[in-house]
Amino acid sequence: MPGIAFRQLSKRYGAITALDGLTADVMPGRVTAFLGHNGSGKTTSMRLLLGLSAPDSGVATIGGERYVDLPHPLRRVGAVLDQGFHPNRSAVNHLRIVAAQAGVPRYRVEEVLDLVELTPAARRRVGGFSLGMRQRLALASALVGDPAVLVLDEPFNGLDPAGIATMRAFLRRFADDGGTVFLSSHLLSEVAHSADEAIVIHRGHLVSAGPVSELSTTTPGVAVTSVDADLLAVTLARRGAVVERTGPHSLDVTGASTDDVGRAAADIGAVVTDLHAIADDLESVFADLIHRQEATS
Amino acid sequence: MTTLVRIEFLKLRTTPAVYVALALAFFLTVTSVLTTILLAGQPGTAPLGSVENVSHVLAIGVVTSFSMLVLGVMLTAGEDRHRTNLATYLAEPRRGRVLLAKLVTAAVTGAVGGAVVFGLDLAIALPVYAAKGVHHLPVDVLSLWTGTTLLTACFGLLGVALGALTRNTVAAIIAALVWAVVIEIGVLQPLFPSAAKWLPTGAAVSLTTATDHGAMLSPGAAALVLVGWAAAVSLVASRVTLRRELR
Repeated sequence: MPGIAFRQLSKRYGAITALDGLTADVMPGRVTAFLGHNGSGKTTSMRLLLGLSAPDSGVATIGGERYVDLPHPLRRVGAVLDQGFHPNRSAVNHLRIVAAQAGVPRYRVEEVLDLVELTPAARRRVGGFSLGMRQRLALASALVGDPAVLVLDEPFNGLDPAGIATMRAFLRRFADDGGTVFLSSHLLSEVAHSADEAIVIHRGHLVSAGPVSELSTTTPGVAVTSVDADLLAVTLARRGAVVERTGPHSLDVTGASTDDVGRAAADIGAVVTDLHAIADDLESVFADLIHRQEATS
Repeated sequence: MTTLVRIEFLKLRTTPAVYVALALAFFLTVTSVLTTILLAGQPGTAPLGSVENVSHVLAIGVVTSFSMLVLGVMLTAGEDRHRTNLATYLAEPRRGRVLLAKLVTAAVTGAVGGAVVFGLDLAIALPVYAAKGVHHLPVDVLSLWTGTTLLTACFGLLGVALGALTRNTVAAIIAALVWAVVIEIGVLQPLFPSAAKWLPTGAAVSLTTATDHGAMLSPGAAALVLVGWAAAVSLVASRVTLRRELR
C-alpha cells in the first residue's frame, strides 16, 4: 500500500484550477520529491493531503486513510509546511505544545531537540532564531510524534551546506528505515541528490512520476565535439539519431546515448575531443518535461 | 476536548501576553481604586463612600473585560498572525473542536481573571475606605462580583469569536472598540436608549453598575442578554471558521 496516495484530486479557487485530477503514489522506504514551478499546485496538494483544505473532488490518503480521519495525526504524519512559530515562545515550550498535541511523553521533546541539534538553543525565544534554526525546529516539531510519514515543503530552504547535508542524510536514514518521505523543493540539484522518486506537476496536472534515475534519462541527448564532425553526423543519422550542428566541430545528438555516439565515432575512426550527455541534469529534464506538457496541452 | 483545552492553556502560559494582561490589570486596579477613593469629594467627583463613589471603585470589570477581550482575540487571530494556526489544525483537523476549546479557555480564564481582579480591587479598597472612616459599602458587592465575573468571561468569548471572524488582531480590537465606544455609547445609547440596553455594552454596564438601574436592564436580564450575545457571535464565528479556507 502506498504511504501516500492521490486519486483524481482536484481543487479550484474561484476561476483558477489549482489542481486537476492529480493521481500519484508515494511509496514507503523511498524519498519522493514533488516538483513544479511556483503555482503549479504542489502546496495545494500538500494542504489537501493534510486536511488543511477540502478538495472539490478526489481524495488524498495516508496509509489508506484521509488525514482528518487519523486518530492521532501527529503520530502518523510529520509535516513541515510554512507554519510559523510564536516569536516570544521558546523552542522547548513550542515543542512541549506539539508533544501535548501528539499525546507523547515529554522526553520526546528533549530527544528531537537533540536530533536537530537545537538543545543549546532550547530556551531561547524562537523570534531570535535564524532561518536555518527555524527549519530545524520545524523538522523537530514534525518528528515529535515519531511518525512513519514525513511531508516536507521546501525542507532545504535556509539551511547552510552542512545543514543540507545533515538533512539529506536524515531523510535517507528515515526512508531506509521504512518511512515515507514526500518533499517539495525548488532546489532541483538537492532533489537529484536526495530523492529516489520524483512527481512532477505543472499547472495542476501530473507531468511525470517515477524514479529520479529514469527521469534523468527520459530525454537522452549527447554533445560531441569532433574534428570529423561532418562524417560523424552522417554516420549517426544513418543509425537513426537526430543530429543538430551547433558549431564547426560540435554536434548535439538526440536518440542516441553517449555509448552509441562513442561507438559510432570509433567505427569510423573519428577523433573525438569532447563527449558528454546533455540534459541529464534535473533542471534540464524538468524544463523539458514542462515544455512538452505545455506543447501537448 | 479536555486535552485541547489543556493545550490552549499551555499556549497561553508560554507566551508573555497573559502575564502582561495580568500586570496591566493589577496596575490599573491599584491605580483606579486609590485615585477614586483618595480624590473622592473633590469638585466633579462623588462624595467618599457614596453609592456612586463605591460603584466607581468596584467598576473594575471595564478593565478586566477589555483585557480579556484582547486575550480572546490573541487566542484566535494571534494564531493567524504568527501562522501557528496551521500547526494547530495539523494536530486537530476538526476545526470546530479547536474553536470550542479556545472558547472554553477564554471563558474560564475570563471568569477566573474577572473574579480574582475584583477580589483584588475589594482587598485594596476595603482597608483604604476603613482608613478614611468608611466601614460599610452601600452596594450589593456579591451581585457586582458575580456580574464582573460573568462579564469578563463573556468578553473573553466575544474576543475569541471576533478574532476568528477577522483573523486579524488589530482589526478585531479596533472593531470591538468602535462598536462599544462609538456606535453603542456614542450613538445608540443617547439616541435609542431603550434599544441600546439590549446590546452587549448596554448589558455590560447594567451588570457592573451599582447605582439605580432606571432605564437599564436588571442584572439578571443583563446577564442573560450578554450570554446570548456571546453565544450568538461565537456561533457565527464557528460557522465561518468551518466553511472558509485557511490562509
